[in-house]
Amino acid sequence: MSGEDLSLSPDFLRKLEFLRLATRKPLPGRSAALQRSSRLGRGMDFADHRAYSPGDDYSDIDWNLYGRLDRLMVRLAEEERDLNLHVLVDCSRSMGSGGKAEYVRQIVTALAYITLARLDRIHVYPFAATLGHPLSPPRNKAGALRVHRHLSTWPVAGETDFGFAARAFSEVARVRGVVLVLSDFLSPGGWQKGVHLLRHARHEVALFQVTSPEEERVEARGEVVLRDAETGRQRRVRITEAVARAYREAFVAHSEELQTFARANRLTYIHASTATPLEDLILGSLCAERFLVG
Amino acid sequence: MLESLSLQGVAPAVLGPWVAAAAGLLLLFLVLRPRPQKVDVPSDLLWARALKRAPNPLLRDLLLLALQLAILAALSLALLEPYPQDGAEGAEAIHPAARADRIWVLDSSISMGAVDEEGNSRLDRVRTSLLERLDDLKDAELALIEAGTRPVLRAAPNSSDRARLRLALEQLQAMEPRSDFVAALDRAAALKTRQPGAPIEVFTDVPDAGEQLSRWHQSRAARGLGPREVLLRAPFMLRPNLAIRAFGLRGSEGIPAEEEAFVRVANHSPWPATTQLSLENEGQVVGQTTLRLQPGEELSRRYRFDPLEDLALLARLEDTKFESDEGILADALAADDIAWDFVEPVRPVRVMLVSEGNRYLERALALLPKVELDRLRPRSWNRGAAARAAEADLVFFDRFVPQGALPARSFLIAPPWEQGPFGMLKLDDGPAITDWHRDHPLFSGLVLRDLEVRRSVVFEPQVGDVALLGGPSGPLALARESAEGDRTIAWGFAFGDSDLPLRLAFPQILVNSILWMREGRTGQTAVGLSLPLGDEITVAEDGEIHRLDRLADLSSGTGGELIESVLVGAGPAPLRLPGPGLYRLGQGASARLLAQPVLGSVESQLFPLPAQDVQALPDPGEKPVEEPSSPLWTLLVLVGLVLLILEFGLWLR
Repeated sequence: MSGEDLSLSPDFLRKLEFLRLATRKPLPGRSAALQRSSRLGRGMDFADHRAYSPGDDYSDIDWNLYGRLDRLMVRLAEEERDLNLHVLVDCSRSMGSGGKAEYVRQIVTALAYITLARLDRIHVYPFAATLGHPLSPPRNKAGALRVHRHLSTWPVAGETDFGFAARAFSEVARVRGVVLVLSDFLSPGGWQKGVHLLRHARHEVALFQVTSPEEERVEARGEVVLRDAETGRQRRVRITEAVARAYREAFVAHSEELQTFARANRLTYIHASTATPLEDLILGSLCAERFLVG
Repeated sequence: MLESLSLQGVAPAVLGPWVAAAAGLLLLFLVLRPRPQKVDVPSDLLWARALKRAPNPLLRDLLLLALQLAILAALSLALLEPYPQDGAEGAEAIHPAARADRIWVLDSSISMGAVDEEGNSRLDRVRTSLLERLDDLKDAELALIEAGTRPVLRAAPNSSDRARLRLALEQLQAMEPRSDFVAALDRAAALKTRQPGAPIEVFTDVPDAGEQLSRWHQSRAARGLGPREVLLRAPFMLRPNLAIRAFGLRGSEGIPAEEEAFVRVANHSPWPATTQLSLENEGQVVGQTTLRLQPGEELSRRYRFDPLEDLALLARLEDTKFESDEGILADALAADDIAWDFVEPVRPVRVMLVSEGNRYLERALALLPKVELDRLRPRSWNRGAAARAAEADLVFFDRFVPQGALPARSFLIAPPWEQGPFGMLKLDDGPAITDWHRDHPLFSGLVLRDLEVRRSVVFEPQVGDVALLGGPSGPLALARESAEGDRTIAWGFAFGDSDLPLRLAFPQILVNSILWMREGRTGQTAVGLSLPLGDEITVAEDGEIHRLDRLADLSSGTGGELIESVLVGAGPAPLRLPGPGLYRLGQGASARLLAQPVLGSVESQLFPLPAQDVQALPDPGEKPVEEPSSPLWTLLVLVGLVLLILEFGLWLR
């Protein structure tokens, strides 16, 4: 597998191999990997008890404790676990403009390469109005190629309902991990509830706002009819300097709202413009935000 | 509200369809305007936030349409030129330009050439004022009528024809013999103008202009015509004038033959005046007198000259000074200070004496000044002599009567018995003369008494014969005048047969005889004709175009200095000379000289000026018309402009 297959330069790929996902807190995984996990499980060292949940291994039940407390508790031990990176990719129609879809594909490919290179797991979920079937590639570098190719086949269509998608994700995602939401967060129904759902599911959530220069700043002037790519709703607008200024302010306010929300909830927020070269994004912004570390 | 408006502009019926069409076009433009471009955006959410306070573009379009329609309405109403009605009941609102509409009537008679102390004539003063007012009255409709002998429309009512009006004003001259004031008013009142009843402004110095105007108004009222506003202006100063009232030149019938000029000068002023009266013939002063006239006085002078050979005699008043209370004033009107008359060449006195010798008669005739005496013996009487006799003023036949017809002016002295055209009764020795015809020109200025006659023929008078003297035996001298005007005297006795030659009356009788015989036959036809002002002559019917030249003077041989030349049509046609002056009609041998002096004209009487309803000329800086304070249509134009600016600003946003 070459960088050409992934649409990434070989030099960039080599740099990616030195990166890994940085997590703020240890997250559980099923297989041993190269990530230190805070999961308390069957590891070598006893760490703690927790209440029994249906589905837990009976061998983990601490019967001695049950005899004492008359409560079913399972033993937990620290062990090294692999990281699960859940990437929720916004595939709504709004992502089809400005080259955002292709940009997102490259981001996901790069992150898949980083993750799979360290034998972590990556699960890529398309979402729009609903959550699509995830793509969980094998834990090797070749899995990145699969991710790359599969992403190419996903249609960019439909409206965005992040809340529904987040709820659906919470139900299907059994393993906690890092949930990276790649979207423009222009969901008619809002995005806060969805993000809260992800948080409450104890995932480490990172909000990755993807925008294009065309939607960051309006250059057109005069009378136009704006058509919402997702809803098809039309709005007749006379774009003047004042209106362009107001739009810019609204856009900035939207981004600031995301950022503020993320900060307030101790989430990672990254803003990526399609005008930013991928290398700068991955090696620059993502590392600066300590989403990736070397 | 509409009733209180007067629409002076485009008719609503004309404007309405155009406005409707324009409004329709605006609506159509709004409907068919190009649709805006459709632009896909990722999401409408941010736009919704951004456009919370932005106005609906459709509202903007509608507002623009409303402004455009408002502009259309404002400008359309402005085109109607509405004016508020005057407050007075029944008053008409008049367009301010129409208020300034005028018909100007200018008196172009000679008196309007009277100058002030700066040398500006009355006509100049009016002309200058009107030319200066033209710019102020640029929207007014103006017409110009020249009020001379007859009214002439010099510029028709057309506010755009300013060039013609200006030219007409500049070309006016004060040369008309008189001003027909009433005819000019009738002509002015008949003009069709934009504003019915446009005021007539009359500029005249006719003394009774006010009375004439009153009578004109009454005449109009009597004819059922409405009143017309007439502004009578006489912005003139009283000026003094000395004028030649009469001037004539004729050949005298006296002995010796002379030219006689008669001049009468009048002082038309309230002040004493002195002037120098000069008579000139071809630039040579042949007579000069200083005259002093009291206010209103007329003085006459006669001058006698040896027969003049050149064409005309000129009388001129110069250095006229009026002793007014304010100092010495100059003569105001030059046109009547000069007069011309053509020289009537005087034929010298010619006397023929057919006699064997008559020393008394010859000596008496020799004493008469400038008498050409042609002596002839009876035996030399022939056809040639008879022809010469026909040119003589008087032919004395001394004791001789020629065969055949007598010359037209014959004096038979002691005709032989039964010879001649007079019947004879007898020869009387020592006739007593008891009667003489004292009233006959022969005895003018003398007394003849106790005349002793040795022997005389006693005539038998015929019907029509006049007995000049006689006695109990009958007339001893007869005078006869034929129907053709031939005059004959028959003297019954030889002068030597009486004591008449010893009497003082003898030469006088001879002179009286000559004068009586010359009567009406002294002069020749003058080469020119002096016409009274305003008189016409008839151009000859010769099928040719004649040229009329106005001359500065008459110079023998050169024809005079040409001032101007006009062409007059082929005759017969009446021709009125353009004004006072010297003229030549035609050229070459058939040319006729004409003179038209200002003599005895009322135009010379510069006093008094019109007194009634006289208004001074408005100063050029003054506006003769009050403009309305705020005509509606200008306000509408302003509103339209403001709306246009708003619409443009909104369109830019």
